[in-house]
Amino acid sequence: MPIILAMETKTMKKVLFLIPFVGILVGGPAVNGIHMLVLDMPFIMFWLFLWFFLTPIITYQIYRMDEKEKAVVK
Amino acid sequence: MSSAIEILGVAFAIVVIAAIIGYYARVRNASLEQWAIGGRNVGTLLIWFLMAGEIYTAFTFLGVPGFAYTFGSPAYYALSYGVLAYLFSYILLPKIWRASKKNGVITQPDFFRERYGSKALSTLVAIVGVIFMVPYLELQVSAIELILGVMGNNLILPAFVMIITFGVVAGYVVMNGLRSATFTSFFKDGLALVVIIVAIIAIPILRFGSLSNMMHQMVLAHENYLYLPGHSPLGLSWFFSVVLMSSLGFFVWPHAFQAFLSAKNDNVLRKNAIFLPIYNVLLLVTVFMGFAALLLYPGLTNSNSAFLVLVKGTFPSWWTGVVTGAILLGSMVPASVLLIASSTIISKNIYKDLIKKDASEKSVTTVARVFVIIITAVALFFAIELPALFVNLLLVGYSGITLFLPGVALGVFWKKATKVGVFSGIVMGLATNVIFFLVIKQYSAIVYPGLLGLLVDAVVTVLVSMVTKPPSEEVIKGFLEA
Repeated sequence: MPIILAMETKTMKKVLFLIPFVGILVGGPAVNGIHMLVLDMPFIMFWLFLWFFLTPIITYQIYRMDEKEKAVVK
Repeated sequence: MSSAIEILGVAFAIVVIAAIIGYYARVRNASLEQWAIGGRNVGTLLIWFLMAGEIYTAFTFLGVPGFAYTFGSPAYYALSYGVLAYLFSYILLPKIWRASKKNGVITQPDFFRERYGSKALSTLVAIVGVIFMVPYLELQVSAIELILGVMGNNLILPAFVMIITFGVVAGYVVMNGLRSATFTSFFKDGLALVVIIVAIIAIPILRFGSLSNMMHQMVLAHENYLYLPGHSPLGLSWFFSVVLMSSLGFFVWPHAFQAFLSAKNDNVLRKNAIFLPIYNVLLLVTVFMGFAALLLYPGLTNSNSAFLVLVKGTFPSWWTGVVTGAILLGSMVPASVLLIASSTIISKNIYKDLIKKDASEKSVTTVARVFVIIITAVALFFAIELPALFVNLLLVGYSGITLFLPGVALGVFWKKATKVGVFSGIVMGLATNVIFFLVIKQYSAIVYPGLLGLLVDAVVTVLVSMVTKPPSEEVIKGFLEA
């Protein structure tokens, strides 16, 4: 059971890691067709702006998982 | 005339303050390790500014607005690569830091020499690294030249500007070393943030009534600039490839590599990596500034000067002077970090490792300082002979530097990576870059050549490593289990 849990965390971390890459590299081009201003920014610029804040939230989640793992190892 | 004196006077005062801070922060009779990586003892706050060093620089103030001014939306790339680079760094840097500490690594070529046990490889990395740092340094040096030119009107003769630029940058570095650059970064970033915040509040209000008005004018006059590909052939796949390449390459720059090795411990690197993306948010402003300049001052001969012209036309001369000082520091501080890294690499990994193995530490330090002057001169030469759009200089640099990524990352994550694999990867990656940049360059607007080089590099590194012999178990343990 602990092994399965550990594997899940590992996969989870990989998925979390990939989210901002997909969000920016694929999401950016994908929303390029939306022509409107949000907060005075063209939509794609606004979309990229969101990731300044979403990325730290995600990295922090990875950090928390790492810390938990460390605590378990100890 | 008098306004030029006032602007340059204030700017000069700011540079002097920075120099004083640097002077007091320096270490007397510094050893090479102290000069180059601050004795591996830099704490959280200062490492923050070293890791963020790339963010608020002359590239930000001049390159990004210039790019937005000329092409529009492709400049958005600058908003995103740093964000992804920090996420990537969370995984990569702590491991490299531990491996480097364990194996006494100071420079990037050291890392390759110790991990792969090959001086041929570390020499290749040293040479390629220094060569591709030159365009980046050229960017910083041309920025200083441009600032003094635009703000000084014809007050200062161009040749004189060159000499001042040269003396200021090289002299500053030789004197002070990395610790000073770090403390100065603190001052530089504080000033940069104030300047950017004032710009985004004041410029739209004073010149357009509000930011909203300004952007509506953009929609009416230049809607095509706002969405990819903008006023350029640089489309969606260009954006994808440039952001990906730059985010992967961000921390394999030899100077960035040396900068994060100066951290006190690996936790500092992890914690900073979490929050640094937020710190990048003001980059948005620089894109807006490019748009503002496009509406107000169309037809500039040198688009790199867009932000400078905008500031000069909006603010009283004393504040223009403060902005000028901030941007000057924004090129001097990164230039000094680049110079420290490149000259350390030459003295340590070429002079000491290859030419004079029994060289005393004192002579290695002297060689490093002499090369500061030589490399500055080379960058200045290119700035005069081959001027370029700042973004292009940075991206060319990235294309070469990113080729080190497979060797660095696989070096700590894959025990089978071998010297022959990494060596052939870098060489084939370089060849790919040369072909796509120079021979069949029509594709470079579709996929940025640097990413293709990296791809070839990674594939070759892995394939060749699988059929060649890895270094001893012991060496690998020192890197993979660090």
